[in-house]
Amino acid sequence: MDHELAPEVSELRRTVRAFLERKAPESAVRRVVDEGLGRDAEVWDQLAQQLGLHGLLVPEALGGQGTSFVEMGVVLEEMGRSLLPGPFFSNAVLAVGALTASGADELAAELLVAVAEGRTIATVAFSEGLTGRPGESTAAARLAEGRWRLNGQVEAVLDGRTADVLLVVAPAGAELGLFAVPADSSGLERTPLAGLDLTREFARVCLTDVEARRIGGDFTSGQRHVLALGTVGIAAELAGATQKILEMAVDYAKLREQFGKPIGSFQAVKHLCADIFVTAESALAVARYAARVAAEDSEGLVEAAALAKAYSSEACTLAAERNIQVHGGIGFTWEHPAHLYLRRIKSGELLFGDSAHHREELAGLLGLTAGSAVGPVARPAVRAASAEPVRV
Amino acid sequence: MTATDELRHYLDAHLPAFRGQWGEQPEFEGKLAWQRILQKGRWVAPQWAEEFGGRGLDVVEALACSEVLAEYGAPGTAGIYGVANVGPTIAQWGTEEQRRHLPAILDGSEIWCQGFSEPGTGSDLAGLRTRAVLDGDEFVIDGQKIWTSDGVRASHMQLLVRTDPDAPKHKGISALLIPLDTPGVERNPIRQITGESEFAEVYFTGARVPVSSLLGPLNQGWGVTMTTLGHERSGVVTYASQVQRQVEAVVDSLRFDRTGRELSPLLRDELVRRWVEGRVVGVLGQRSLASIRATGQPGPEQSIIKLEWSQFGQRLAQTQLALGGLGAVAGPDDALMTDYLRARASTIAGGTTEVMKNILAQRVLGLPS
Ligand SMILES: Cc1cc2nc3c(=O)[nH]c(=O)nc-3n(C[C@H](O)[C@H](O)[C@H](O)COP(=O)(O)OP(=O)(O)OC[C@H]3O[C@@H](n4cnc5c(N)ncnc54)[C@H](O)[C@@H]3O)c2cc1C
Repeated sequence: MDHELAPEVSELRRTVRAFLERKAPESAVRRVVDEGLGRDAEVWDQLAQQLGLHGLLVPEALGGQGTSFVEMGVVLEEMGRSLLPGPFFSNAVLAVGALTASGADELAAELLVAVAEGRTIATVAFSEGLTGRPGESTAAARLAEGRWRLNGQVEAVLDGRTADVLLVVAPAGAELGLFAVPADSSGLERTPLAGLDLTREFARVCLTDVEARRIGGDFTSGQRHVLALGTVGIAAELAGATQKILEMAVDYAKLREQFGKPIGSFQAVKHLCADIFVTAESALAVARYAARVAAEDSEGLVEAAALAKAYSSEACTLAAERNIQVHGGIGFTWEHPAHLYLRRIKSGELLFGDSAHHREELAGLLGLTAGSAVGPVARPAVRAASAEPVRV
Repeated sequence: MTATDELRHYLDAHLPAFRGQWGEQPEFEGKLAWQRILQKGRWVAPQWAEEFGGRGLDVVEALACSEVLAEYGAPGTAGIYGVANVGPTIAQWGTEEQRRHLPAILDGSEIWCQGFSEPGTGSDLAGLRTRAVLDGDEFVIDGQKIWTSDGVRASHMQLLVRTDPDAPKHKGISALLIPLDTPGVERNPIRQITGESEFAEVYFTGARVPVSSLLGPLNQGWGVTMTTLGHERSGVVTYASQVQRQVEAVVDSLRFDRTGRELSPLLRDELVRRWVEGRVVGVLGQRSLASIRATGQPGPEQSIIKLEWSQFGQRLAQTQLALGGLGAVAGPDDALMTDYLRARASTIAGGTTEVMKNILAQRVLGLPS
């Protein structure tokens, strides 16, 4: 399944899978969830110290691994597959993405070092929402007597409760700013929210005259970049989780017998499994494609991110639902992991925009909306060749 | 100079003049003319061995060449079943004498069709009943084939017949290579839902062909034919990029005339859905190519590319009709109408969607039959 990956990336994937299978099996995941721990502290430290994963995207000069998003993509696949709870994604993708996108900044460098070492957990609070709606911010920054102060609230901040530092993206006059807010700041209030996904935590963050340090300059393009990285990251998680969905469905279809034979011999079940397979392969292919584009840091990132998420949001949820159907009654129980995957995938569907949102984005990028900023196009040379007559 | 550079030069030199004479979307005669031109440069099947009229390119190079052809919007070739399916099977199983067909397949002097399906056997192909009985050094053939693409204009057929009626159904089938002007062979065009007649029914009444027509071992025609499907596999990469090109061309033309901006939100969403689907299949093709590079074989994604390709073509044709509005079903140009109707075949021909899903579930996922 790894032919499009370089050998060392494939090796990383295997290492992470083996680690998570050993240290974060379903029973461990359930313990974290049941006891409301947020994360397994031992696993968290080992991810940082043994595997160096928190700092994958942190430059080497700041103590990170300095690898590309391709590596991050396969790690996130494995985390989706194992349902790993905890703030890894907020910390290692969003926060690191925001800090590296903020330009050369002393505080940013300091935080990156701390994150890479596993000393600090950071997350990003997007006051314009996870799809970045300009002009719809729910918080704002104001400069008074040489100090920045934040007011307002941000809904559904990923890992907002556990983070040691919140990186708040909020309008600052005519610009967009990135602000660091330590968790113990006065005026900061964090309320845990009920989440569909038991393995991912959200909090509402209220800011009342909270003092904050600004990082870097205008963060408008930085936000666009981080949101795109987040989108690609979730697409990778969805792809990884859907691989597991496929295995669950197929294994069960071989095992479970009704009418004196395995249910996998019934065509309706076969076709459900075949459909899940189509999704699992496609989601993986498109997530890895988007991760490659993210690694190149190219112009095409926003489009590739939208493509990946437009596909996988809808399709992976459907696969998770089909998996429950394949399992029948047992798939409807709390004991069975099928719902844990459905929850994780469904919430991933909505994080950073669902399929409809990303199709709308793409419509703009493709020059199909009135507001599209697309220049003139060359006349298409030839009418699209319709499919060749089909072979036998 | 790489093969693709060489091909580009060749196309630059020959395509404009060809288009001047035959237009951009030539019919069969034009495609045949184009195939001859292309084969003068040995570009029809560059992955075939040089002795058979190819260039001995490896799969990856050959796929790069088909990309170049697609990029130029070059017309298809006329004898597609011979080039894509029958030829590779002959190359693998054929005798010295049978391999003499290969250069003729490439230069279009022989057009081949495949006589597999019968009125009583389609999906369950192994149940075929057309018989061939050995009489001295000849096979005597009786029976009927149906839905044979190119059946009327073909000069030759790869024919599946039952040669051992007592054996289990997969084990009594043989493959024969026959000229269609053999006495006792009669063919009639069948009119399709598009009004065209691209396929035919073919009757065999005591038709006699020499024993040397047998391709591969007696009673092993099933295995012989299945290897053809194997040959076709790397073709999925081409299918995948074709899908992507098709939808990109539709979007480009809407951008070009700016009508894309006036679409209703629902129609725009439908179109972008197609674009997403097309790109996803394209990306799967790239994944397949990576696998071919690494192992010489496409990975499991190849089984879904064809499945997705066939359904995608139908959906795109529907969307294009929708984009055209009433004018698409009542207008001066019937191209979209024909595309729409023709697309119905893609989930039937070459194995129906339902059967492909069965096969995928059994062979790839290992579910019990
Ligand atoms: C345009 C076109 C070109 C063709 N060209 C050729 C050619 O060149 N040479 C040739 O030999 N044949 C050719 N065919 C025939 C083609 O291969 C058959 O039509 C196809 O395999 C289906 O067989 P059938 O038509 O007998 O349908 P059937 O097999 O009778 O199928 C009818 C319906 O039953 C379903 N069905 C059947 N079996 C199963 C099963 N086990 N599980 C679930 N559903 C099932 C099918 O999916 C379908 O929906 C062509 C067909 C078309 C449309």
